[in-house]
Amino acid sequence: MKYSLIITISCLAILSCKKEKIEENQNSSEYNNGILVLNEGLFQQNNASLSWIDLSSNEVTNQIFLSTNNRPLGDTGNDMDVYGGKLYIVVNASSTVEVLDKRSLKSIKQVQLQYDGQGQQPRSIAFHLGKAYITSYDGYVNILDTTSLIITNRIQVGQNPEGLGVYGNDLFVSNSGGLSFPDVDSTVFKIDLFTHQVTDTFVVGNNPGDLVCDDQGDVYVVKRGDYSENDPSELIRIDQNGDVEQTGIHASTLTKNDHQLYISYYNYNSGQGNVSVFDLENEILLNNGLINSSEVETLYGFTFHMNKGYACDAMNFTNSGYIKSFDEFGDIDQSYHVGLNPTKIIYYD
Amino acid sequence: MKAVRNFLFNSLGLLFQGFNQFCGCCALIFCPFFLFAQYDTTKLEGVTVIGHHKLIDEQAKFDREEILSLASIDLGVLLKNVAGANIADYGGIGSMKTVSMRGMGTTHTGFLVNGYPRNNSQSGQIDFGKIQINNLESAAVRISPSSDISIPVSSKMKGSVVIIETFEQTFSQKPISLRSSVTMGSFGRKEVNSSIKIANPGAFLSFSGNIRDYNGDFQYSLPYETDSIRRRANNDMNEMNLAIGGGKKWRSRNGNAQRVKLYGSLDRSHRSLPGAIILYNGDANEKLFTSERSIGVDHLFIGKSLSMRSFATYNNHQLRYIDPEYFNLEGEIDNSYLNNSIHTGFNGKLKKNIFSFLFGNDLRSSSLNSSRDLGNPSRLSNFAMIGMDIDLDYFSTNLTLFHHHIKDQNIQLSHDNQYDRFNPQVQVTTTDKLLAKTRLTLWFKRSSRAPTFNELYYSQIGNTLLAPEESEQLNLGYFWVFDKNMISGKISGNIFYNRLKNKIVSIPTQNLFVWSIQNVGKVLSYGKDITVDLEFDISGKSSISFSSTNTYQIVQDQSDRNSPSFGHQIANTPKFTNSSNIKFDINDINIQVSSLYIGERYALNENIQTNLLEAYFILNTSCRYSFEIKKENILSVQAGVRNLLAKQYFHINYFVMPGRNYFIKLSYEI
Repeated sequence: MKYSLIITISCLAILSCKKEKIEENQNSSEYNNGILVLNEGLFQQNNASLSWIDLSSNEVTNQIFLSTNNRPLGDTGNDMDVYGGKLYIVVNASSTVEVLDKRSLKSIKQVQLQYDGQGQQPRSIAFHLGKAYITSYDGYVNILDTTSLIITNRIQVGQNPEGLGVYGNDLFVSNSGGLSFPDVDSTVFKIDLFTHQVTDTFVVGNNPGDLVCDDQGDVYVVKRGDYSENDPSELIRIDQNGDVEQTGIHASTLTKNDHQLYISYYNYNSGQGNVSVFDLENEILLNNGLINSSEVETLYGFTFHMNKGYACDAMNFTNSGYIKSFDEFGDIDQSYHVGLNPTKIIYYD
Repeated sequence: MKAVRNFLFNSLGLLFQGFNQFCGCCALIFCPFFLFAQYDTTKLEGVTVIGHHKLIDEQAKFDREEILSLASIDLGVLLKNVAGANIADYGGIGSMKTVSMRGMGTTHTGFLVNGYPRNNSQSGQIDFGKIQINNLESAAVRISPSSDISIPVSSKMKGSVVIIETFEQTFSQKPISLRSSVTMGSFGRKEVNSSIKIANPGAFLSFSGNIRDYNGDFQYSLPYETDSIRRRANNDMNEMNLAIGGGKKWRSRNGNAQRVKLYGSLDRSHRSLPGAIILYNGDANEKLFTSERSIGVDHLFIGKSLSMRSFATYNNHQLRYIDPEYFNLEGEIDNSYLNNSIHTGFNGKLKKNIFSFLFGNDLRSSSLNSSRDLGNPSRLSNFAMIGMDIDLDYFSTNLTLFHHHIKDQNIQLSHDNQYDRFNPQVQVTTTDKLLAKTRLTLWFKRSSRAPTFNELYYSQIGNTLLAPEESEQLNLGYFWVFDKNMISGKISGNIFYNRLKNKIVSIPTQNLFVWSIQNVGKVLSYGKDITVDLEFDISGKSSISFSSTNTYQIVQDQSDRNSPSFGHQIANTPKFTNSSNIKFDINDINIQVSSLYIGERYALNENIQTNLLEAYFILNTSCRYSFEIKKENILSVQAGVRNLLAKQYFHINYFVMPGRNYFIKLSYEI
């Protein structure tokens, strides 16, 4: 009895000293019925990551890129989208685009965006007719063939291009100029995808960021201004005729879902967040307070699916964040602890 | 000969470009000296020393022999052997190294070179990686030196102070002293140092020059990439410094002793900055150029009851930062900064029976001009103190009150630019009469540090609403000296409890590229340290020495109770550290083996697995052989290996440290 007790205590002591291991991939074959989250990480920490939220069990698995591919994702994950059967992740400071199998999340190829020996710092991605278009801070849009996964061309645009979208055969790119702050850019370029030439330029206001094209040919872009009350962040519309209109709606990020535009806004001065819904067909604001945003400390992105809203909460940017889901009444119903600075969400059927 | 003379004159010309400012400074500083010079005094009532030259508030001290034996690359590496010191090392040789004592933060540590304060109003922190050690006489870290008149008031008000004394600022009994050395080693390391001093018992004149050059490249591998070897590039450094010094001391007929010292120095360096490793991307290509000129004058008066030190110093520091690959309008960043500061002060002690009255004042004027639009900020700081030492039979007590006044100006930004703060300090120490060979000390200290120009004005992130950081330190220290048969030694330790509020931290706003500085932090730190020094005398010319420092400290983030990191150990701060050295002195041969253990840390304040930085253990060794080629002409050869076990590690996340590396040093001394 005495020896049993000693052995039991020793085992407990050893187990209690065991370090927490990086979580194992729970479903190594296919990812279904859940949410994939891109966690941006923190600059120079190489800690961008993916989290998986299983909606059937509400369990969260963090670090799934690492556990699936045995290497880290890189530094500062900025954008993520699905095209065909592939998932594309844009990793800004690492200057890579990670191409994964959408279902297994296994790496198909790491596309390195280097030009003349220098990282191009990619920011956002959009797709059209078998091509991926990737804005890069070096002032170009790279064109990636989604079959061969080779960069086939690059188009020169304005300063530090940020958001982009495609309507018809036109590519719209917002030029932020953010790295020259306060002497920022203020333009959106319209580019013919056949000739790769800039065919029109729209002045939308200082420091444009996220950009979405609707099904009627209107372009919505976030003019981020100088982040102060003097030049606040606002949603700008470029209509089909090329006229630029201010909407008066505060905006930080945009997500399109069918005919609705979900606009998240976080005021860094007051610390208040807000989610609005804009009807793209009728061009009216449907809701100016979709969720109870007091449940979110730092609203860093938002998406909507199947009557549920999912908010990215970046907390204080240096602690791991949360995805918070909201019901149709705007009340919080789940909170999922994910990685550092969650920024993009993709819903998996 | 003519070339040498021209060189000397050119060097002196560079040193004294700030002569006009300097003259004004001298006039100001010597007012107090003339006011108090009528006192009849004969000896310095200085600081309390026990054991082997150990001051009661001294956290560590390295003499020249210890500095030579440890063979550290720079002062930052040497300070890793100090209990309670956390050295943020950004990559080994030639890299930036900052010191945080007991979790207080790097800006709470002051720096004194030969008694002159060095400060940087722009960044507020000292890069100890830039301080070469070839001409050091001693290096020490002190925490509460209130009674010591050699320490300026501004430095006493810091949380802790690193103090170095150099060869060119010390008196000597030898008519001619020469020190020269050549060091070569891994990373293309080349160092040449030469110093000469001409002296008589009452005066000296010295000249010193030093060149360091490294290409800095080394191989490393990363976790998850164990089969691939990378090369750390853009890590080179080139540095040159010159110094000139002189001094005179005399005793007047009435018995008063006086000493005057002058110095001037010029430092120039070029450093490449590889930055943190960014996975899948190349090394950064940034460059940093610095140039620094300093001149100073120091006067010490020692009378029967009054002792007093006065000093004045002028410092001109230029910095140019270049990033040739930045995606802005210009296609690069090329920023230059010019810091000017004049610092003057006095410190006195008037002894009357068991009482010693302490008084002092420092005045510092700092300004910053920059190619960036920072509004040419300037700051006038005044540091005043009054205090009293009471020497009783069984206890000696120190009570000091400090006052800190700051006035800031900026031609573009108006803000609440004045700050006044009183900070008390109390210290009680046992005397030899109560406890022979043992000393117990209890002290409390409150200090503050002003926001730096970068924190106030740096475009996008600066915040003119910042208040100074406030800290409180409580310390119980003990010290025991013993000497029995062939073994002598000392054991010292501290138990401490510190609080820091209004901590200035940068947090991301707008997006992760745009950060802002806020007064939102609170830190609680407590812990203990112990230092053991033992010496075994084997025979007249042979001995074995052993020293070990151990620190256990909890440094918690207490900023926001609702934050996931509340109560967690703050970033990059190990709970446990140990440094140990064993030294064999056998006739003319000295063999040293030293180790450094840094416990687990976290890259960010949240103590989760993904932020964990592994503990590491480093072993260094060196062997030195010294012999006389003729009387008092000593030639030494030293060779060593650092990181003997070729450990691959980071101290700061993704700032990779070098693997095993070698050096050989040839020294000649008269």
